[in-house]
Amino acid sequence: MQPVRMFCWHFMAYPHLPDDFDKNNESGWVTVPNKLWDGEKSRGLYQEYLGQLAYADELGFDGMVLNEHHQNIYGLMPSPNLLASALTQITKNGKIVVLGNLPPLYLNPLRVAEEYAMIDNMSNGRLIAGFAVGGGPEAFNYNVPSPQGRRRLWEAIDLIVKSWTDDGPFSHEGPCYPMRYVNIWPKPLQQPHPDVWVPGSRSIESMAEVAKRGYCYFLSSRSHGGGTRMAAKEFAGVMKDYGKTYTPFKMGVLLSVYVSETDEQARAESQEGIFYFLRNCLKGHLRKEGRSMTFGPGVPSQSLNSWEAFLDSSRAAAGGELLGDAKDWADLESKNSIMVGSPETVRKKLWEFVEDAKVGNLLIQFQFGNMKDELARKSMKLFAEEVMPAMRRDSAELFAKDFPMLDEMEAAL
Amino acid sequence: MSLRNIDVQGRTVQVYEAGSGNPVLYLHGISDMHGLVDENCAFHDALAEKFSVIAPAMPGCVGSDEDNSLEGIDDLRFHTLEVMDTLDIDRIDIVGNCVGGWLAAEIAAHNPERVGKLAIISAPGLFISGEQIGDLFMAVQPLNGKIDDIRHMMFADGNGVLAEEWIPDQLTGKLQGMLRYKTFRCIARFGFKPPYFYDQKLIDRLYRFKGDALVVWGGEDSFVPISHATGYGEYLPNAIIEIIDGCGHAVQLEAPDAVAEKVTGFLS
Repeated sequence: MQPVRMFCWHFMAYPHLPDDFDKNNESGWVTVPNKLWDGEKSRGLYQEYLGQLAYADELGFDGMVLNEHHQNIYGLMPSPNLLASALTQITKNGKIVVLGNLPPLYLNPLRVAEEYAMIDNMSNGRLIAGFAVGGGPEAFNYNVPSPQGRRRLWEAIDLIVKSWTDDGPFSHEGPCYPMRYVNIWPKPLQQPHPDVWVPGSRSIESMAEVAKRGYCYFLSSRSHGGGTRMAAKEFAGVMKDYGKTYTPFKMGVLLSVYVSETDEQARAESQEGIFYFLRNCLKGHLRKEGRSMTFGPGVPSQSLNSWEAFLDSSRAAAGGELLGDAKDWADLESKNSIMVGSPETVRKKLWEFVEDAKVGNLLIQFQFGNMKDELARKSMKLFAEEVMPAMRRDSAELFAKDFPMLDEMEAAL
Repeated sequence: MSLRNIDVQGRTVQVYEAGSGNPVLYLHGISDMHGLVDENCAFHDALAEKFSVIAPAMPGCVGSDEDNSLEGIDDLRFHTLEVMDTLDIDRIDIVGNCVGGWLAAEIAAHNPERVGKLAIISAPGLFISGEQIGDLFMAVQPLNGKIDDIRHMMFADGNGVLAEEWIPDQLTGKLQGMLRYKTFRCIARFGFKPPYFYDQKLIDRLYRFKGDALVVWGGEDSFVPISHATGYGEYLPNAIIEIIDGCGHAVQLEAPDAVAEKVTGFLS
């Protein structure tokens, strides 16, 4: 029986902001002045971040996760495929999860099909192909009218997957991306195609699109165990509606973890990086303070039904409180969004999460904001040595008990 | 006054009708009936005292269906011509406010035979180099929990009672929250991506409309700069420009009587 899979997630934040950044800037996104980029201090930054991901591979993580963001200090990965390409050469075993490319930003989604196929070949079949619609900041950066994003996303995904599985040349008649000649070289190595993951934040429309194609749903909004369990239950229900069977590996979730020798040490070592991440990187994104660009009438990507549900929700009633609004350490702890502590503490918290949510793909952020290389590496190492083995053992048992059909499905393969 | 739903090529369109007299097609804007509120305002009432006002709601606004095929101003123009066809309107005087004014100018340039007189109020639609139309979408996103920016973009007195009443920070109820979202979702479909609320080629096509035109603008419009009023005035062959001093973009809310006087005088 397959245990829970643990991936090392990286945002690749810009770590050299001045101390008064929060005071003097309304956002870390879109309008954040790029005169703040310090070229000399940033020399070697990509090497450092790539090194951490290569280290995750050495430590036995199930894979490394990249993502695409533009014109911001939150994530310096406007092209995750360039970094994925580097990872193909410096890692050996782990999956390379690009979560994801943002096809609505591009004129021709076949570029994504081609690059993913290259990465799959270059990595000897280790790509997990993620696709996302892009957030509010990307809409501003790349001029994507939000109401049209999802339509473009799903036409692009279907075209890309078809370009991998169907022999070309063929023509595509879709309204967004009509193509006379679809005939990509190379084709991906994995057959019939690399696994496809698509993020969502619990809207039923997105879940339905993912479920009916049998792809993996990635819950991108950090939720505690209860919220994730609800999402998993909703997704399992939607899959059933489309005649598919839910397993824990049809779903992934984003978590944030820091491990050190003791609880006190973990907090002392991580809090600077974590608050840099919350105050600076999330400003403009998941924080009320500053210019909120991720969600709202200015970037109306949610359907009218989803917006109505939001207005009815407790989050709207609470004034839209978000992760970046955590006032202090105690407030952050109470939100339960970031797991910090000794191996034992993190093991306990993470196990509670897995037991509660029964989600099979844990995508874990270890590096926060301006966290130093040695601290991120130490946390990853302690996690790999003292948390991961127990998680694998216990989750395999849990999944075997709760999802007996997994064995049959494996046998059928 | 009445509200009814009509079927336009399978899509529901909500239509407001009021008054009697010569028919006038009213194409609404953002801070307007069918936009941020679901009822008529003083300006519409004044218009309806003299004319038979017909005001369809744009796709996705109030009771009108969304139209996922709407991707630009040409689609909106075509949709509006279909609304006119459905209502058996062959040729009519058009009053357009804000984005509705842009739409009216597009119809006049492309289909001059369908338009009698043309009155446009605070209309985006033109590209004038160095005179950018404001980024409404960024302005409506809260800054420290407040949307002062859009109030200042819409009203001359962005801190005034009218601005607060029309665009409060906190939604006073679900209805208001939905109206705001629906309006922005509608205008994002044709105003978000470049061109930003304009059609680069419109200005050189305005000559095709030979009828009488009226251009009304708030003297302190900070969404569509007043130079755009001059642009419309110069490129429409028979246009007069009326500037209402002390008013912003939502001039028909800020000075309903003055605007109504100009518009009804022009149409009479």
